Amino acid sequence: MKLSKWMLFACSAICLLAMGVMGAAVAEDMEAIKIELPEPFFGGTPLDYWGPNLEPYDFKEREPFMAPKGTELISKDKPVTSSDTAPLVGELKQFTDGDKDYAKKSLIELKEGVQWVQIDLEKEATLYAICLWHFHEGKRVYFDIVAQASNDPNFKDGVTTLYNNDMDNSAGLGAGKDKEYIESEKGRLIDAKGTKARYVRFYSNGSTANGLNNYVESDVFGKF
Amino acid sequence: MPNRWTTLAYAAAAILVFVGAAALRCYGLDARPVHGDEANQAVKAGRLYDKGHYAYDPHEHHGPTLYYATLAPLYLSGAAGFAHSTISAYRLVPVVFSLVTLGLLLLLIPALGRGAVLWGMALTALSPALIFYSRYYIQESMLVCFALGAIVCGERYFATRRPIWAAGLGGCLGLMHATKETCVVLFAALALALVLTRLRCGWPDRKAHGLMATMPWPHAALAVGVAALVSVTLFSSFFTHLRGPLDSVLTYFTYAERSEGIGSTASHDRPWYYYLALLGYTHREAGPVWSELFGLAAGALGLLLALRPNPARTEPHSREHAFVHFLALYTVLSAAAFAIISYKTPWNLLPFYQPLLLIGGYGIHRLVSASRHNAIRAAACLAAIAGLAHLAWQYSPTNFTYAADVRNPYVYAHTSSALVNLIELVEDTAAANGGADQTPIYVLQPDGDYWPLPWYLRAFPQVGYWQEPPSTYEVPIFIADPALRGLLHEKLGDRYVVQTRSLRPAVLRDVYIRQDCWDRLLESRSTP
Repeated sequence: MKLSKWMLFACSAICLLAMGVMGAAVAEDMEAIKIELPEPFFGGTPLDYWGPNLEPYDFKEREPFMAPKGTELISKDKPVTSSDTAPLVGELKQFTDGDKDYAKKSLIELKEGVQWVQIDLEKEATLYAICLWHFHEGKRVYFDIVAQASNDPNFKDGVTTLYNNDMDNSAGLGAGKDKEYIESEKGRLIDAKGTKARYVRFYSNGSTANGLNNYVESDVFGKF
Repeated sequence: MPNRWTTLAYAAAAILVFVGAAALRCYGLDARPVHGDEANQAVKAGRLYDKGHYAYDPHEHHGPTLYYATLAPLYLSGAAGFAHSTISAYRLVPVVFSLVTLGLLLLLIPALGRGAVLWGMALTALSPALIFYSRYYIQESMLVCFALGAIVCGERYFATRRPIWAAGLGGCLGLMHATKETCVVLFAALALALVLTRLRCGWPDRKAHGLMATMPWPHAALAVGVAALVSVTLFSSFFTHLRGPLDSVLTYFTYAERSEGIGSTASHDRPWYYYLALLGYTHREAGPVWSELFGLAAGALGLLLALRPNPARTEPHSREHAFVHFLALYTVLSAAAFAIISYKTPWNLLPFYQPLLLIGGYGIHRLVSASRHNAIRAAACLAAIAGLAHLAWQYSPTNFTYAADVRNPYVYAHTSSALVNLIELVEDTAAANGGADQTPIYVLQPDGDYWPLPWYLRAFPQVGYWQEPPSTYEVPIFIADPALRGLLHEKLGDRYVVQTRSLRPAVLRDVYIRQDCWDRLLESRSTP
């Protein structure tokens, strides 16, 4: 009996050691992605928004997001399409131009209702993280935010949903359980979990301000 | 003597302007969300349609003409009742009266000349402000129409001395009174402009002494009698509410306080140049620039020409000059009065802006016809058409793209376009839980600011609007002010799912849906 106890202890110790070594090896292959944040906007009217699905506003700095070494920004200046081909404000190409400023010159405004914008990465990539900015010149909550990835430009086949806070399924893409959040200069960081896809699509359905849909920028991080 | 072809060309142009104006006013009438003021007037008109009952309220909602005029389009639309009516039927009323205004302008051709009237029609037809509020279920289009009707009848009366025009003048004045309380500003401006014109130009009758001497007593009595009859008939709800006419006078004590910015209405106080700035140049955040500078500039030119000293003092003033002088004085006086009144809302610019555009038409006509050289006349004409084109270009952003957006200068405390999300949520929940008839809703709003929800929830027969806490909390849906979150959390616990949606920009409402109803909603939405 005593022997087997010692053997059990020894095996456990060996396993732990092995896991530690492996973990260290994995950690060495990971690094924090570099998200360039825009200047924050100070001002605007406080937002009296609340809901059980609303994420509390976080004033702290975001924890670094770890991704495999070599992960880089792969969406810069990539082609953008949209359900609204004639934005009311701005041009679709601004969605990937690197300008994340809160000023209206950096803003794209799409018509009312459920609308989407889509980035074509031009070839399949492994996606690790996405950072999305709708609007940050003041406090707003945008509704029915859904982020999807696919190799099908029409998003009919092989669609992976990366984020969905459409709690009541009003966008018709299925009810989601992700959190609603108040927009800020930090954007919304979405874990893409190594999904392989060429296209990334973002949906929204108006905001607490009005029925229009706004987009400033999206950074997609991954590897080709 | 104008030749036949010129007359035909003018007629064709007038028809084109009229048809264009009708198309611009009628297209997509239901596109804009319903404003709170439109909603509460639609509810009053709907109640009149359903129950045949109307009683003038001296504190709110203005005069009765709008509601009675709405009965015709509601009837013609075939709506079985208020619950089944659509906003287009209501908005058709201001559309029709704005078109009658255009038609009335034609009656001023003998006084102003057809060129001035045609340019005035074009400006009125294409002005973004006038189009926007012609599609808005409020009283202003009717007030503008009746005020112009009074001017037309007055001019025709003094030109012909026929009693029918005196009766028409009285009828229009009575309708103005029965439309909106601000008519007193226009009455004062009309009277003062008439006195000043008479002193300056001798119009309407330079040989007579005294203002009333220009109208024989029988005709004056006819005008006053018709005005009183029209006003009393409407304010008394066709003699079923006899206190109405008295209230139509007592109401001015309330409005006198309001005009001084007393009470809650102080939030509507604006500086004297508010209307000028609104019309001249508006560029809020990203988005288009709105400007009616062309209309303002044409109006300013027309005013200068109309109020200029008579070049030959010995010559008698022509009918055209005297009338245009009166019109210019009326415009300036009414604009000054509305500028002085602290209480300002953008639609209050209509009563002085429409006559300004008519004067603008006179200014453009004089400018175009000033030169003997055809090339210069053509260039002036083209410049004016370019100005009109700029006004027309603003049609789509004003009435569709930014119809409920704060960037639009004519949008004021408007319902958010995001309200559709709230209404969809409530309607879909009801549909998944037995329908609107089976779905009681409580709207909890301590300050009573729940408009336009009564319009959007008109198909729900069981809606309770609570300013005090309700006696029971056993309904499937609550719509509540965010200030009541503590109370509702205590009363409802975790049996309800909460969604927050926009009523107006930065004005939110919480929608509480009972868990079993929520589950059925999700089930219905997940069914392909």
